[in-house]
Amino acid sequence: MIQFQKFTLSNGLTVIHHPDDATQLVCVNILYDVGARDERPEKTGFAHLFEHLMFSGSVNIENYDEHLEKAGGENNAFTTNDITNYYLTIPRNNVETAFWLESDRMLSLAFSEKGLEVQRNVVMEEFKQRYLNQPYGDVWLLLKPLAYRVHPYRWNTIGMELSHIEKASMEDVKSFFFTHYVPSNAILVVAGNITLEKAKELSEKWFGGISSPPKPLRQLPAEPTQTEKRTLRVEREVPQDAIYKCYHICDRNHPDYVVLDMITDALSNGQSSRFHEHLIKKKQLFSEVQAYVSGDRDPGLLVLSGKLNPEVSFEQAEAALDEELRGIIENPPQGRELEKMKNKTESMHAFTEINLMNRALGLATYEWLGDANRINTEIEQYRKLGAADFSRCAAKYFSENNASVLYYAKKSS
Amino acid sequence: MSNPEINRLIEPAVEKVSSVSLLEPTHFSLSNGIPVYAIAGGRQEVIKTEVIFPAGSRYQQVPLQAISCNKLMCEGTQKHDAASLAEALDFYGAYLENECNTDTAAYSLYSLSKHIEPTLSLLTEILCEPVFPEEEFEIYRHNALQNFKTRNKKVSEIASAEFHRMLFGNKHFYGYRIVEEDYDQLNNDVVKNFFGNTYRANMPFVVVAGKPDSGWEKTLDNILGKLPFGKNASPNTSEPEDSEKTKHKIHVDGALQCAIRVGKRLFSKNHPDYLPLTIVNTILGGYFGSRLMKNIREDKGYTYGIGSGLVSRQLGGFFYISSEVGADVTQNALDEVYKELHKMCTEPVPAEELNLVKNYLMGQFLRGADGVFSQAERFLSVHLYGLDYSYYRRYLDTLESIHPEQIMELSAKYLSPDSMSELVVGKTHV
Repeated sequence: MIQFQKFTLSNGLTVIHHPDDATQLVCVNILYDVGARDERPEKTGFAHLFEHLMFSGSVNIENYDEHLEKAGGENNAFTTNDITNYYLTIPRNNVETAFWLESDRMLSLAFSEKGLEVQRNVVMEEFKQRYLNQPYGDVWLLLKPLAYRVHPYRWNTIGMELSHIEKASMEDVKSFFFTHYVPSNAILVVAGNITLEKAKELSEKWFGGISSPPKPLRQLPAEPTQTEKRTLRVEREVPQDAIYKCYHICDRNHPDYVVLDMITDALSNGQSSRFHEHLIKKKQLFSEVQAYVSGDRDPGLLVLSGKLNPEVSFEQAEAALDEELRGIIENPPQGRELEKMKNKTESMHAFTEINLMNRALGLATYEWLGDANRINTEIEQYRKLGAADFSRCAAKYFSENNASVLYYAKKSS
Repeated sequence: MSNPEINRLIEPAVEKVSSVSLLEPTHFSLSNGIPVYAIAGGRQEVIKTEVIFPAGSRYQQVPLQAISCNKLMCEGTQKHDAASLAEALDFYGAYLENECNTDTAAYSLYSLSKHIEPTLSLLTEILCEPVFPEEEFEIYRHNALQNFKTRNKKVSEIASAEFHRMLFGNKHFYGYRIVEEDYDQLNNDVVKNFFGNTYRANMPFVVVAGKPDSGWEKTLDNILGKLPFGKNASPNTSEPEDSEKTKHKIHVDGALQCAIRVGKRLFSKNHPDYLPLTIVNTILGGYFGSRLMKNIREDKGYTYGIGSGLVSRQLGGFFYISSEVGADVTQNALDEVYKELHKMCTEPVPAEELNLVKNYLMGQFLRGADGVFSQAERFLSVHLYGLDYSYYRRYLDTLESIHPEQIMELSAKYLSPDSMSELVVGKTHV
């Protein structure tokens, strides 16, 4: 059970306090409700580029990292389709430095031309390092626009192409900041060795005076229902053929989400999962094969992916994956298999919560989804699931008309 | 618009982190003599049990022998086949982590406290009665080869393997670079032999951390304490020969970035200069605000990341700088790397920068002690080198006392630019 208190400042900033006196550290996590889905199609990759710019100086503080490091702190950040999240840990006696730094960059940035130029280059190198210069690195650059035609999930957080990042201007930077980086659009979690009184006092002192426009409205085009199977075949310099098959599913807050999450557990979580036992060990069709849900706020994807053994055709591989999905409908997890999955969920929950930063991020994420207390209660939804839920959801989502398949072939020499 | 009572131009007072508690484990032995180091604590009802053997790759006779044995021990025992073993562990929500490096090999069991007994019994079976089925060996060998081929397409992976070879030589266990043929030549008998000669013949030790339901001495003794283990380690202790400084390039068609490595052989944690040198390394390339990051990423934008490190093995160690940079700026990036090394050797570190690094490292020290599993790692990282907690007390003293001249001297002694080997992997002829 994770204890926490929630309060809201008059400017709309949500603050969550989670005490833990077993640590000498405080973790400060700020989640901004802005991600790649909030970008315009001709300016993609911007939310992520912006994450980099948040370290290029704020209105009163030239160098965020230097001040934090001097106070013994360390930080990082990440951007997804939906959110941008900044987190740090700092020795408890220096916690005020964290409030000073984070509030100043919520107030306003330095908007330095040099910072923008350098971070454009850094992000372009990141694009190359992670997506272009890796075997299978461009899979998601291909798969997302195949599965999504309209919704902004059709592009990746890194952006659709290098040129969008190259062209990012200071005007873009400013308007993005003043629209999205406002108190009403943020959730602040203060966790660790700090009292509620102190967390309130410091939040009020440093964040209370930042004025806020209302939370920006989001009107994203809904992805139309897919009506026929989509396929794409590419050839690349890779050692093995790989297949990626995905299905549109519900959004993160829909009751079906936990069912689908658990279906992917049955398929591929652990050495005794169905995929591992049937596809790697018995039939030996794949050298590795996984199933997972994307967990996006808007309707997301359930993905099956695997690397094919030599001599195995794409047809054989896909047929085997399809058979496993039929297996969920016809022979859904129950009895000992279901108990095993529930035990694994419980244990994963316990192990995740060891880490202070995981707890802080969890609280921020669930609050963003609607209610921080789901960090404690969501596990109940998993505990209640039964065989009928799995059959029903599998039948509902796993149709060929709802599937997009990427055949990622090894270049024949 | 902001709170008028606060002046944002003045940073809040920063206090020095002073009190750091070092939680040393309690020590006891099982009936069969196996030493156990235990750290109790944490709020979650979980336990990590790690059993560590002197069974790293330096004890092997043929390539891949150690890692394959480590991975295949859990693929079937006298009582359970691979599937039922995996199912039983999964059923209790437990999971295993097996790892094998150059010096040691280990099995870690992560379990809910309430299920420690049945899961520990399963771990014990794996450690004592593995049967190494032929078909599991073939699946493993095949999948490991596929995985190797994929990794071998990445410039960073090629660079790491090749750089070890450059520093330690292909004949030495720290330097040997694996090739595809090693997978073809591997057979199940050499894997089995390795188990008998190392895991069975040697005495392991156990590190246990977490929150036991009741005393864990009895539980551990009831299960792990009944097992036969040998007592004679026959370590392969040949120290690597000295290596000459070299420069090397490997061309990879179509690569958009080059992986660069600059570095040299140094020494293990046991060397008296290792400790102060970790602080020198931090300044150069060991944290986000390091000189290499500031210059090559934050000022020039040549890379997504660059860093340096000191690596300690039981019989030696090395220093490295590593990055992946845009193919067209590779030489510029290397020039800047050497400039930064030169500066470390010839100019004293400004007081303000040193102060920042000291505070940052104190914070890191606290983070490294946060949580019971981190405390266990802290124990291991000295115990494996025959050191004790006085190492950490010395570290805190050094952090307090180290001064700019000392840093310059250490740099000049160990990090001079002309002593470095260099490797570039990627598009090398532009």
